[in-house]
Amino acid sequence: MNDHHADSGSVSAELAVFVVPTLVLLTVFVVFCGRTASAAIDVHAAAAAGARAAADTTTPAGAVRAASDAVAASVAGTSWTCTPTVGTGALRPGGQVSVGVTCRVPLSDLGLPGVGARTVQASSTEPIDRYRADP
Amino acid sequence: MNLPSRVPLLHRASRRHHEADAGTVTAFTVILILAVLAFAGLVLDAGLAISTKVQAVSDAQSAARAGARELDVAALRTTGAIRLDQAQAEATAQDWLSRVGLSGTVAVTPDTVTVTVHTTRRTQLLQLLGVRTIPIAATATARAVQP
Repeated sequence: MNDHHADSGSVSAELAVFVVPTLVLLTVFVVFCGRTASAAIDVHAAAAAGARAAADTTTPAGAVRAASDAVAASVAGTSWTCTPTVGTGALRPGGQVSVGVTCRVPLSDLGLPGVGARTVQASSTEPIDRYRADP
Repeated sequence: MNLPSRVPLLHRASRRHHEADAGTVTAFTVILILAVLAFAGLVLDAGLAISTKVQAVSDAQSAARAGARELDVAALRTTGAIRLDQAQAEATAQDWLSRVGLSGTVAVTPDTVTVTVHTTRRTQLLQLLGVRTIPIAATATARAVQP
């Protein structure tokens, strides 16, 4: 750099003032995109797991407990705050149960301007067996 | 671009070189930024497509299970065989699909229901590159069994 004297300044200025910060910002944006997509995938999977677990229960209270446990297990190890909502209105043999999951996904550690936390939602509905042995 | 009036020969050559590709650097920058943006688009939209796929698989499984509930009760009572009421199973699986807002095909055998779901995911960043939707397909099979 030093042996280029003044005329290399324009290139360096472009590089230093514009390109590098933009590339750093864009790289963080790529990470942000990855984290957003991964959150969408995991929250969908958590809702499906919760609905699957709830469909094996026989009482509304049991369904809520099973769904909450499954959702918690599904997002264990993350820093997300997830709230499951369980629709037990048709919880009967031959009916269905639906589980919605709302997660608050913190993204402020990325340091992107204007990006704090994102709320990601997903829901899943599962059929309940018509014929099954009651425990 | 303030050049000193006395530029050594070597540096004059390199100066000409730099002047010549001053525009190239800008183009390089633009292309680099576009490439990183396209990369971000791949990460985001492929990830969201996987998320849609996860949901489609889970919905196909639900629909297949819903269809597999339709046992042929008369056959079960007379022969003890686990067999599906095939027409009812197909109707129930299709009904389940339409209730979750998906379209797909249902194939029923005497004891299985196979649901194939076709859907698309609208892209967010890749549409800048002309890719507007990503097709998604998911297949799931449920078998009626006696536990």
